Amino acid sequence: MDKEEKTLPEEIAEIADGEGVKTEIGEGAELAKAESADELHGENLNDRVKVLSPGMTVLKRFFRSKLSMIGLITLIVLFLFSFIGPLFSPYDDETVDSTPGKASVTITKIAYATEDGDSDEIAYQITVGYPSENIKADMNGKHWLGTDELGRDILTRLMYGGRISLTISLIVIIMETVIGVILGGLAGYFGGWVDQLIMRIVDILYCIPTLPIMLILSAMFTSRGIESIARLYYMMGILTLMGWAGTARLVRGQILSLREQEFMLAAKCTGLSTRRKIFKHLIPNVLPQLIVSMTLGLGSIILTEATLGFLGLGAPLGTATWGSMINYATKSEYLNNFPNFWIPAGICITLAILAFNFVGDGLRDAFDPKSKR
Amino acid sequence: MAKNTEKNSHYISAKESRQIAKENREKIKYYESRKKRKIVESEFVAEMKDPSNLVEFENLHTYFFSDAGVVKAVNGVTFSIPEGSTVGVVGESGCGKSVTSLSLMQLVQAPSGQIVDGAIRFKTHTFKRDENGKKIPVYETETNEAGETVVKTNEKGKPIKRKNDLGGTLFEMEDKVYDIAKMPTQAMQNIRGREIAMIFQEPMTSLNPVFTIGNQLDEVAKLHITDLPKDKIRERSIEMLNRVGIADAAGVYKKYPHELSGGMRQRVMIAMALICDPKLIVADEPTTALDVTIQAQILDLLRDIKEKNKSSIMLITHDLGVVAEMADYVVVMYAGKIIEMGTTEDIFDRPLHPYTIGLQKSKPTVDDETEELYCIPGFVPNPVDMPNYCYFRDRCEKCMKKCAGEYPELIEVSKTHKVACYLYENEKEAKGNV
Amino acid sequence: MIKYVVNRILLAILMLFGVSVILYSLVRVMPVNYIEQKYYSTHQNVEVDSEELKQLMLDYNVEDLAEVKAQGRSELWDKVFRNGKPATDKDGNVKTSSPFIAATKSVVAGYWSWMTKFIRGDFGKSFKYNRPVEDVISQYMGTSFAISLISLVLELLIAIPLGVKSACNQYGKLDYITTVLTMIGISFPSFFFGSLVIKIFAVELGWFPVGGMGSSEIFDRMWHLVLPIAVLTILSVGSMMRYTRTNTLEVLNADYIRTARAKGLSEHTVIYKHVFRNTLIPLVTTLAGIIPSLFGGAMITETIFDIQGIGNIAYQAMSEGDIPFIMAYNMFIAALTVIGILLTDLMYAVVDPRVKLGK
Repeated sequence: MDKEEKTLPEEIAEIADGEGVKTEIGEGAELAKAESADELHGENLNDRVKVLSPGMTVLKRFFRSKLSMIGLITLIVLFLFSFIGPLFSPYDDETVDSTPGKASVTITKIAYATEDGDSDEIAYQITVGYPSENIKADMNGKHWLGTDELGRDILTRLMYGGRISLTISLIVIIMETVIGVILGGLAGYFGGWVDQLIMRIVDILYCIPTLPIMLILSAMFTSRGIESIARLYYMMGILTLMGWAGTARLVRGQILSLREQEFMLAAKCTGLSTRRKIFKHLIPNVLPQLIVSMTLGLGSIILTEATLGFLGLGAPLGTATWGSMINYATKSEYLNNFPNFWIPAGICITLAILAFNFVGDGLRDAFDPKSKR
Repeated sequence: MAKNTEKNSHYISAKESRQIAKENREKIKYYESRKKRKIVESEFVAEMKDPSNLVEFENLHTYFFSDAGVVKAVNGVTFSIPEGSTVGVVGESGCGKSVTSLSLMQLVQAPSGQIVDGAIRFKTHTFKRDENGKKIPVYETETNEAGETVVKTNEKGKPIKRKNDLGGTLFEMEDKVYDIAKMPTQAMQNIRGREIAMIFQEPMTSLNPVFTIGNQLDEVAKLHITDLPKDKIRERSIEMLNRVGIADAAGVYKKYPHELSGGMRQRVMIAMALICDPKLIVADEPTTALDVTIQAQILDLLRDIKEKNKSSIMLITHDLGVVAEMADYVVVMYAGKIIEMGTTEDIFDRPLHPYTIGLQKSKPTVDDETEELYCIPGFVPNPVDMPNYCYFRDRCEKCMKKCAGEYPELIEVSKTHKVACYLYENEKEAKGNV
Repeated sequence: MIKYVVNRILLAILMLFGVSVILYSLVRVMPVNYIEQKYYSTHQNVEVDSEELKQLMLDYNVEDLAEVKAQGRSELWDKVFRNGKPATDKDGNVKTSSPFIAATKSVVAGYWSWMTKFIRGDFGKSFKYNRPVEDVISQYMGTSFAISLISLVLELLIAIPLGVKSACNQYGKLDYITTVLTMIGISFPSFFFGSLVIKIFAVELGWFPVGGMGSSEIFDRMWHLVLPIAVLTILSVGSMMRYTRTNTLEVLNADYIRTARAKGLSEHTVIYKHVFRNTLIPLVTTLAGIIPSLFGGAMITETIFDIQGIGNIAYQAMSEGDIPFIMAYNMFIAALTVIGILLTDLMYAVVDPRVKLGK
């Protein structure tokens, strides 16, 4: 198109100079001859129109949406909080604050009968205990969110928990996408028995209920005594194995529909190599959808991790993750009396999922070529 | 007209786009609320300039508030459709033909598209309404012994409503002129389908895939003809299908759209348009998506119907052949403005505007010996941020110095023929002198 | 049509077969001492019947593992993956030359015997409940089904009209509010939301009971179920509403909607007849997702509110390694999923006249 536009003035001049158009008004034609065509015609009107480059359109649509901006900012804050935050914290995730904490005062009522048989006499026994660790501290200046039952600073643990939770979800989503793209791409591109085989596996994975399987495996890890950080790796592996099917299905579907389109036929006709066809034509077309599904997937992995943590089956005991911190809510003592134990972690999980959803949704709208605004 | 020297002058900066978005939001809000407000009828009752006209467009402006800025799709269009005539609206793609017709139906894609200014006067034959806004039925009357005319009643003492030819209740009607540009949507729904029917460009996607043809046809009669019994509605629909030349009308009635070919679907669309005997049929490129043999049949059909029903047709097309064959009057549009209008003879025998001449030359003819078809260089400009000079200037062969000046006004060359081009300025003056 | 359905059913059986293989393999890598331990822990008060334990292991074809354990190595895991020595029988004779082949053989044999029993309808006896699994499932399914059904109906009643409405006023106030609420509903993890609701409405305000089912008196029971149903509904409304909205928006831009308007139909008819019928088509796909949760219970919500539904029961059984229950319950869920998919396809043919089954 560009090329055509540039050559326009010459063309016009040619036509005007050459045949010209014979009409009853010869004056106009003469005039046109006399003047230089360029000057007369002024600029090309299409040059006046400002349009958006495709990349800009996506970015602009994305940044226009308030919700996506909120999501993006929330994500940045959460990442900073988790990865930079601990640097500013005086505590470590395992540090137990061993300053003597709040003195616990127990008052016991003792009713006794006096010698004259009057049983209304009451005495109080007051016991003051000084625990050696600052456990279950309230929110205060030293511990903004208080300390947990072992005297560890909750805010700091929240930061470290964020590190693990966010890292897990990032690693899992990347592994999932790699496997999903390769297998889905193979299925979609080659079709035939490759497609059949891969898609049947995908179907089977789709039918296996994720949560129960995770439950069984976690229970097994516990009984095997895998309590170290290795358990996290196993968990990531299993999440990946259960999760790639969705990506594969998406990629396959996209490639199948793209394969049918004319531009792929054109690519074939121009004799492009298979590799070039895949990387130059298929992948860029699948990419927007893939990015959206990855973003939304990040949220759902955080959710799964947290769910397992809540059920007490996720990360090894003692390791701070958002999931393991929300686990306090399962014990009625903490649920009822120590909301500072579990509510912050819950808020972090919710915020992270919310933010990933906002961003994913914003990206989806921004990538959508049919989008009106 | 400062030349943008920046490298990215083709692209809108973030700041500009924010500005555009903000302005668009405000404007859309304003126009949307205007459409929804409750207004009394008197506010949109108008007066025809020429009583023989059915529709008069006057200075119509329909804009789209898009991301890239305000697109002036229709930018000051004035023409009229006389009763019982066919008016062809011609132009390249994207010149505002369809938007003009959609404006007439108030179907411009909201919220971004809005009628901003101007008037569309339509002579309507509408229901008389009582003080409560209810339609007034006509009752059967008889003459009693005293010689007075009284309303007939049935056994229960209730007055009997008179029926119209189709079997629906007859209401008292009156002729009025409405300004569609000012009408609220609710009042417009009374005109759509009953008095103005529209045939769309894409027969393949214009029928709802999940309802049968019969269901979709019946809807129109059910809606606009009050108290029509069910079997009569069905009868009417099948009759219309027969009329548009569908052989197995009763069979098609039961089919789903996807079971029909494109030509058949377009016939169904036409049948749908005919159910209420509309006074005006707006046909938006009715034959573009069809192959040539079907095209001819559809055009014949339209002409036939027009004569039988004495209705008018607004025919939108880019096919000059179709216009020449069908239209009484032709309006040539370019970039949202009318550049030439006149009777079909005017436009085809004495085309004046360089664009019209170009269009004619680019039409293939059998006896033409030249090898290459003529084409007008360049494209229709995207009507965002247009300058105030003739939009065709950069593509025009007969461009003059004067063309850099203001946008030329429509010059009346003869009684019926108008053109917007500086080439003909002298003619007007000459006429003025005479 | 019939050919198509038969085809799909065969495919479904294939899928279930695959699921059962994976489940069985999972169960087989469970350590034996684990089963034993679980058996002891659930039979604490009963005198341990070693014959019964043996029978249990036999039922699940883990008895060979027990024997291996007796030889000093405890787990199949070792046998297969760690260069374990060849498996030996009681007399110390080498069973086969390769431990891997031996393991494979025993797994295949075990799977075969499990499957033949399963097909005959013998799902085994739950360790934990000491009753046939199907009894346990059918006993607790009713409660879960009732809760899920009520919340499903509420969800549909709220989500669909709101979704359609907000799509019709895209970028309007209502749309904005519902979008934000939807997002919050989608993002709130059920356990966190449930815990918060308990904390606020049960602990702090004391309006509702903390959990449990209450007495069998109908009003009391309903009172106990208000919070869990509310939680289930609020959390599921979001995604349904978003789905409805997206699809409605898509349909609203279609040419045939313009045609409907051009007929003079009122906006109400256009939306609730022409738009809605088309929106319904993709909504039917959600059927596939609803069916398993309808019968299979909401595991987390039931656990939080301590409702004796199938989800809660399954959670407990699974976390305690109740192998027969694990196998049967998961196969149950998988079968429901497969049925859901099949039903979705059939429903498509009902809702969308363009879809012809078998093509």
